[in-house]
Amino acid sequence: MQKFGTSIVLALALHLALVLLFAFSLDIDPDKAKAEAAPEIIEATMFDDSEIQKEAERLQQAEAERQQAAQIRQEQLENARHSEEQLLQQAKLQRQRQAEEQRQQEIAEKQRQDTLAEQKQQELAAQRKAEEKRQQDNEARAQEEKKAKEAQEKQQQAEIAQKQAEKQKQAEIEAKKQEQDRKQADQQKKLQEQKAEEARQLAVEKEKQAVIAAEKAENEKRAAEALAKAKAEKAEKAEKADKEKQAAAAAEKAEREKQIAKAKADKAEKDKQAAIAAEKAEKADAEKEKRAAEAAAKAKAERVEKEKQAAEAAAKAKAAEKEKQLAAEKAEKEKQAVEAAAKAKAAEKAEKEKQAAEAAAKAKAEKEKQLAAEKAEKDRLAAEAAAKAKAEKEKQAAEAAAAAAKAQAEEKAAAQAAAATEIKRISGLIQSRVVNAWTRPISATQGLKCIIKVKLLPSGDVMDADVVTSSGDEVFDRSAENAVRKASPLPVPQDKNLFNEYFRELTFPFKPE
Amino acid sequence: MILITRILFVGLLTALCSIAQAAGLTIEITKGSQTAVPIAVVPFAQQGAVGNVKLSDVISSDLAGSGFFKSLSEDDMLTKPSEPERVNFKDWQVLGQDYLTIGQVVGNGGSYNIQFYLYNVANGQLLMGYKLTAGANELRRAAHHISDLIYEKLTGRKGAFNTRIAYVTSAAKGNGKQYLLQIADADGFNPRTVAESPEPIMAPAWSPDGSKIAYVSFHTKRSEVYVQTLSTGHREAVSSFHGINGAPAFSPDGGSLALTLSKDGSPDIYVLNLSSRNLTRLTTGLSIDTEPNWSPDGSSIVFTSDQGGKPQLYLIPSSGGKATRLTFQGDYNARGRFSADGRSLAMVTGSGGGYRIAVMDMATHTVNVLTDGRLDDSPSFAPNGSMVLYSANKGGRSVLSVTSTDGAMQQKLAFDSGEVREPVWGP
Amino acid sequence: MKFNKTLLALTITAFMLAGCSSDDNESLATDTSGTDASTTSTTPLSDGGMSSTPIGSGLGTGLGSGYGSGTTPSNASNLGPEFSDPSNPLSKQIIYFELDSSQIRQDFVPVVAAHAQYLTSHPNAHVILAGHTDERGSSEYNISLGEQRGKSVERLLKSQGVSASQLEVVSYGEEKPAVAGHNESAWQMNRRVEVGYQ
Repeated sequence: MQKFGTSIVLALALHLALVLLFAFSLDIDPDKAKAEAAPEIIEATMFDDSEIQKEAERLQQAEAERQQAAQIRQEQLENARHSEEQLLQQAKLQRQRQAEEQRQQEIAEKQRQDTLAEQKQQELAAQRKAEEKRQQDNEARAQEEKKAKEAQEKQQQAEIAQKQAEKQKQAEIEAKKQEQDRKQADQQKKLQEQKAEEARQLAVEKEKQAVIAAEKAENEKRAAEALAKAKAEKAEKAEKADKEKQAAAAAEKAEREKQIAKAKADKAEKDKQAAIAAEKAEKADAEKEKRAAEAAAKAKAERVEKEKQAAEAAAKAKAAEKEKQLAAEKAEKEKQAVEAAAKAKAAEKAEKEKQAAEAAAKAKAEKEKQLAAEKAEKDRLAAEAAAKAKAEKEKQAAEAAAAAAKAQAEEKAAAQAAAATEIKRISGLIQSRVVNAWTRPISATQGLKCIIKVKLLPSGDVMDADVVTSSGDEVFDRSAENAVRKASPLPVPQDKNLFNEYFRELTFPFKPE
Repeated sequence: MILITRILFVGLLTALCSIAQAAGLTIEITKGSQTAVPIAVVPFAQQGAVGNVKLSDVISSDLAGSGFFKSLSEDDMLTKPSEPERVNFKDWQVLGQDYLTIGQVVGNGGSYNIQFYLYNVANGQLLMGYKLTAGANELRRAAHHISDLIYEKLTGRKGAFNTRIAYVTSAAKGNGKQYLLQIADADGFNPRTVAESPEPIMAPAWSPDGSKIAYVSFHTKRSEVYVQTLSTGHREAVSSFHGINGAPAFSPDGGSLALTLSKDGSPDIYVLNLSSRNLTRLTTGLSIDTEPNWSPDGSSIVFTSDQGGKPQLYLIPSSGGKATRLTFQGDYNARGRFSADGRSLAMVTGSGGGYRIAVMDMATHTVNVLTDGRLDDSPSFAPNGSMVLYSANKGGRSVLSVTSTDGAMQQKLAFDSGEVREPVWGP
Repeated sequence: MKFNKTLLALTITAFMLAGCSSDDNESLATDTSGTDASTTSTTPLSDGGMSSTPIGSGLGTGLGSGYGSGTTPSNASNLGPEFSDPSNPLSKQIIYFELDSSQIRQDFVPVVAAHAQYLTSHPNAHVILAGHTDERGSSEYNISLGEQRGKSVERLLKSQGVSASQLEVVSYGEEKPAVAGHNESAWQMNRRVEVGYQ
């Protein structure tokens, strides 16, 4: 091998060298060939003037063709320029049209904004009018109350006047009695007429003065009482006016608070109703699924039964047909045996016997065969029935198992669905709480986003609220953190497993839109 | 080996992710209400001789007037603490307040030491604590400064409560009238007269650094534009051409004044370089071009022109060029004034029912009408863009009014008598 | 012969190359849309009439003018009795205008004509035409509207022979209403030009 090795190596080397030389020669040769060929060509044309001219003509033709091609190219370029100019002009026209459209759109938009602004102002004006009406209503009510009280006071004054009239009547009655007494005294004192007359005159004068004084005193009393009543009325009116103002102010405050409370209550009710509606929808879906499964199972059972019945009917039909055939065969064979016996009565008793025996044997064999066939068929039918019964039982067992499995799966799904709806509901409540508590800073620009991570206690109270991703705007971050804190305590599910798995830590991305 | 560790690592990651997901739900919050933020400013405790300025009242009305806040009335406060140890946050959570300010004022001879604290009620966190010293007669300014600090902390925007406004009042005097150009605090307090004339004064304009005021005066029976230095009271007539000299507006660098001049025929916009006194004409044509106002970057000027028939707002480069129309809504839009960030443009807009103040968003070109008066005029933005000052007509008199730029809050500035017009907010 | 032929060949190849290069040199011309740039005049104008004298110092020094309050347009003491004669159109020195208009109403044209006649026959007489508007809209825009009205009267007077040196136009816009009020009956009395004889 070594000998062969070196020789082989040498041989290979020689081969390689030859190949390389060949390759280089190939490389070199073409150049040389060209170099040699070129002067050969030139020399060839040198020797042949006609060919030179022909070639010159060919070259001129080539030039002409090239010039033609150049002209064609120029024309094409000019066409291209024209088409480009046209395109640019079209583009200009389009831009102008677009600019006009934009102006028209701007005008339309500004008209819309005009109308929107006017609507807002109308709404503001309507609100102010409503408030003014309320104030007027309050004032009207206050005036009505004043009138009612004035009526009561007038009644009281009427009663007082009645009492005064009664007192006057009593005073008049007493005066009349006094006069009667004095007349009796005059009759008794007729003897002392002069002294009595003087005394009477004096007494009458005194009486007149006394009556005048009494009347003056009564007038003064009445005047004093009237003054006192007037003062009391003024005081009462002043008090009533103050009370009414306070009541009106309190009523307005109460009404505003009630409206705010009503609005909040409406919002809460709407949320609850929405949650309840969602639950009902999901329950309805689950029931529908159950019913559908049950209906499918019933359909399948019916189909299986129908198949059983069809198979049994077919089997019975086959058995009846076979019996008929057997009966026909029996009849034919008996006829043959009788005919054979009748023909061969005299001659062939033995044959008759043999035939009878053979016939009997055949008959027995046939009977046995029939019995065997019948047995076989009965066995087959029994086996088929048994097989069918087994198959049916297996199917029923499988269906039962499947039904059981479906029931279990449905329970799990229902449980999961219930959990999912509960999670959705509570998430919705939390979201609306935080949204209501969030006062966005007015400088908030689009595109700001911050993420607040919150840790809750099982009661729903916010234990920790941290900014995990800042929006870059300290004011925006603070408003988000405040929103979550102000919404505390947050609603949480009753189920502790659900709480621990989903609600212990919450993440709130805040994105104004 | 490496493959095994990689598989383990990926497995750990997925396990952790699943654990993280199992640790809780993610609930997205996208809506929220943009209502005024409730804040309680408790009356500051006072010690020593304290002036007659109630700091908490000034701060409450500043914050409420901006439209961003709703100040709790003092009557509704359950407690009135003035020291941090006395604060029980449940008292304020119950009242639905988001933020709480408490403080003290100690009078010290002629000056005052003020201390205040700002709390976040939801978590009891102290957001800001400050000590200030204010000299005599500076209590209102100190209160406005506190309002600025609170406003900036809670909204992220600069406050504008320690700024000034300028306006013109007119009242009967003898057989004629007296016109006063006055400067006051942004809430109308502490007015001081800067110029006086028996003939009308109008169109005051602040220089960007607040040191000068330009205005139009008719006291020579013709209109002339003056520039007055506030600290010295010295003034100079910078434009006294034939015809109208009006509507002065300082450029953002304070070096030029845009003007309306009709000396070359019809009223046109000119720019006067205040140092070289070079006059450049920007608009030509037979229409009325007036009421120039510079954009905050100084590159363009908005002005009123009726070249389209009725007054509308146009924008022209401040170095000259073609004017483009800005307003297309309504048949009367005039007196455009930019906000300091250049994003909004206030204007007087008129249609059937009267003349009101509107604000256009320069990015979307949507226009919002802010006021509902019938004779509103002369709108100008607060330096932080949150409020617009303008003149309105109430009860037959001209009064000044401030509205928040979302139109939610409006306040009237009270003056004793006479007419108040041509207001402009200072820097 | 060799060299000639090589030269021929070279020239032929040169022709070929020229043909090729000419094809390459044809490039697509791009159409540039022209932008219209309006030229603005930036001639610095130095008007000799602009004075920069400091006027007064200190806060609140009032600068009273020599004239009265300006509501009475004419200095009636210099004028003849025809100006107070109600039957004479010269007694009407206020010309009224319709809303948003600077066109002189037909019933005031004879008034302007009467004043034109007086002015042409009294070349030393001077009037200041003071233009006013009602209070609606922006006050600075109303200054320009008032000037339009004053110039409208000025044009009509000039067209009837009055020389420009006798006329001067001033506008007060909405700043000096004749009638206080916020309804059309007040506004129509404020849209006016007052012919004020000096």
